Amino acid sequence: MSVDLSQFYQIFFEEAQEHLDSMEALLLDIDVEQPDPEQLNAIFRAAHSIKGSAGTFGFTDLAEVTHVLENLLDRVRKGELALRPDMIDAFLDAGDVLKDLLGAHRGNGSADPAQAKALCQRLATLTGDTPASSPGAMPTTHVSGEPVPALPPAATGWTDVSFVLEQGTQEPEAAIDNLIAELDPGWQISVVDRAASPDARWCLRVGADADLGLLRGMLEFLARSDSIRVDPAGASSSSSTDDDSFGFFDTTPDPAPPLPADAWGLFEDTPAAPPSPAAATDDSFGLFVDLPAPEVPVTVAPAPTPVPVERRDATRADRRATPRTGASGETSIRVDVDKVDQLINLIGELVITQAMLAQSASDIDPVKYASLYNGLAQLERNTRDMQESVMSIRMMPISMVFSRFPRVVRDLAQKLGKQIELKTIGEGTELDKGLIERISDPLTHLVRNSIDHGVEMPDDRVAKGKSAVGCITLKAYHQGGNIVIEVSDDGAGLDRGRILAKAREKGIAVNDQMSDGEVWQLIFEPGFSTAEQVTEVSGRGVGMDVVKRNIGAMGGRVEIESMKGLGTRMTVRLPLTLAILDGMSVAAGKETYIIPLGYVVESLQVERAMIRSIAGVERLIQVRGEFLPVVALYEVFGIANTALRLDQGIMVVVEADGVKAALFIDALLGQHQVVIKSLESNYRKVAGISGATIMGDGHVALILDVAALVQMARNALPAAA
Amino acid sequence: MMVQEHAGQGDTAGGVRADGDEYLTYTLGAEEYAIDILKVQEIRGYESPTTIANAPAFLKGVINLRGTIVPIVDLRIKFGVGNADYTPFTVVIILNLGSRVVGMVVDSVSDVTMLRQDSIRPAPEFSASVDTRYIKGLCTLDERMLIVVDIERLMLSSEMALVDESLA
Repeated sequence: MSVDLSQFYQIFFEEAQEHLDSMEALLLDIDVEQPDPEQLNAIFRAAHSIKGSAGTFGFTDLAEVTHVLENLLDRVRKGELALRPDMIDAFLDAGDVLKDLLGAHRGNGSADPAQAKALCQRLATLTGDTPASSPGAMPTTHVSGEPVPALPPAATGWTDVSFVLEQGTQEPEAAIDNLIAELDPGWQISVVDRAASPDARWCLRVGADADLGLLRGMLEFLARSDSIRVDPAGASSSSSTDDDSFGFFDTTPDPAPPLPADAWGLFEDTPAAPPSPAAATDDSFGLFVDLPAPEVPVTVAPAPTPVPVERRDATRADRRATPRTGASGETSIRVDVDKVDQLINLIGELVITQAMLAQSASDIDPVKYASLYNGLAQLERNTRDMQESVMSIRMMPISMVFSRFPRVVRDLAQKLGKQIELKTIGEGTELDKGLIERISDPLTHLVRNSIDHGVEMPDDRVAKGKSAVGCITLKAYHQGGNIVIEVSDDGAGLDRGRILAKAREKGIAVNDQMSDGEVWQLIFEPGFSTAEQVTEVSGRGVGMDVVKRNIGAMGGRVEIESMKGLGTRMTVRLPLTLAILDGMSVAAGKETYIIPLGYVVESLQVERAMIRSIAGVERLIQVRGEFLPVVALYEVFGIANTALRLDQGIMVVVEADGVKAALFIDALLGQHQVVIKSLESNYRKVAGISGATIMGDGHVALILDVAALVQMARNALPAAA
Repeated sequence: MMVQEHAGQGDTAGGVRADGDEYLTYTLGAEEYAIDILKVQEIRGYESPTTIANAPAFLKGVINLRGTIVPIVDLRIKFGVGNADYTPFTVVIILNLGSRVVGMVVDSVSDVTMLRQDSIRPAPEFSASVDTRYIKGLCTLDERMLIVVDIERLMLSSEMALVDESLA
């Protein structure tokens, strides 16, 4: 029997990534002058956990770098060395190297072993001793920095493994026999020492071909994790090399903190660290380690007013206190997203079934069937609550994205010689996990753009009478069924003249009468950049169009506001989730369609006087001085309609991409929250339709693609004229 | 229910399954067709679907099949056979073609039969409502002629317009 450790690699990767992220966040947050011991401990623990699990899985290179890192951190946290800014830089770089190494193991990108080696050297220098004199570093330094695949266990000799059984283990003899029976008989495993009392040590002797990592894994279930000791007593020199590559199977008594048995990096035991509530954070499977718990619970339900969570004002002390309160006794589990999605789908079905039942029950006598009515009312309540809580599983705070920006801003500002302060507001605002992943890149682009193009050089800023330190603000809040994310800077603002000139140069049709809003939208054109020189950061004009496209693909949009000399604000509006949509159901002929509520401006009944015709065709309506093109739904979809004249039906004024149009329909039916179903999974894309949903009566209703319909109106207009 | 019974008979009559494959036969007008039963997910009655704009006439629309949006095609209209009217007895065969679920309306479902691979003869080139590309072969069964259709290929062909052009 051989357990393939690779099945756990994914968990390790995710966990290590989270530890790295939390380490980085802590490093950026730490006060160099007066480091908080709690924060230093947290950083140490993160590094330590990575080391432990990297060792278990045989990622020697990772274990090695973290080991050196840990040494330095340990001395800093014990107060033997004072924290210096160059250390922070080295730590951050170490984090990057580890990310690269991790990426290389995951199969994306490649790591440069020389870089890792140079970094180890640098960290060792900072630690103040050479690697050779650092006893803790000894076992690993002889291994080169090259990524080493999981090594086979010792080739010759035997190894003694001793441990103390978990308190209260029933029938220890039987348990150990079971364990031995479960392990491969080819391992030549034997009991050397039987424990007489529950607290005494057991000792097992295993043959050369035993997989120590596996054995350790099995023992974790039986023994106290901190008591397991592996002693390659009869091992030859070659096997001891292999043992050392596991990083923590230390054979020599170690003056450095004991390198404990963090097989999975889950069970934290840092004896040197004072037991603190924050240590619980690490036990929570590393899921929420890097998230400061929001101080104000933000409602997920669409709120009519923005709910910004002002975190910047929180004092440092407050901020330090938050992880403690947030992590108290909290546990979490890792669940495959597919499972959550399946649950969401099932709940969607349940909601539909419930609606169907409610509809069928509306015909029966409520007096006669009172209990049935009560039951249905309860069912409705329960399904609604259930839907809400299931949807909230997918919801994650936007701080998942925001947390990467302090680093981006710091690095980029340093590179460009600018001084920039980053403010984040409303980090606790929640949105769908799928959106979190997809918004991250476009947002990074916007932030980089603000740093590069927006904020001026310190001298320029002072000359303009502004503070030398520029400010970039990231703000997130809920508005209606949307989440709004603002990226604003107090920089130079967009230059209308330059953008127009550039547009002409590019052959884009522009004129001087265009509104500012329209001009700003030009920067989203492909290949558009007004930066005077192409920098490493930006200026190649690749990006803004991609940003817009990506955000558009998520059902969101970007707006720009800018004032010359005062700054620029980019506002990204996204739906809260991709699975549910607030829609207005409308009738056209016998068909029912859903208009996403986000697009609807107003609906009205037109009077004869409001209708304007072009070349004899009634194509426009005049609403409060504005001329809107009419899109007759029955025409677009070829439906036999009931209201033939424009003044007989209803006009729904919609707005998409800043353009308004009036959809001509027969009647408004109601407003629903609908579960979006893909039309494409079994059929194909249909022009003017973005998806489908199932109505209360079990019928399918199609969801209109308003942006495409508006586009149709735009294209149809010149043709009709 | 009926299908189930016939499937049982097919098993006993044909002996072991290795002898051939089971086919579901259905009629369109006077013609009898056979499709691989493993592609059939279920058979259900016709319910009026939600129409899709600007779709070909044979695409009746989409229905809600326990939460999945499934397109319904009427093969009678597509091939111009039989009477395209909808009664309580109109049947829809729901096909499961790999990752896609498609429903097709036929005149009637008749039987599940075991057809030996060697009893299926290649179809001669002839002009029929169904393109010979989608015909696996012909088979005689008790004086009747069955047209064995490669339903997956037919349904996913660009002709049926069920799949985006780029994917077809």
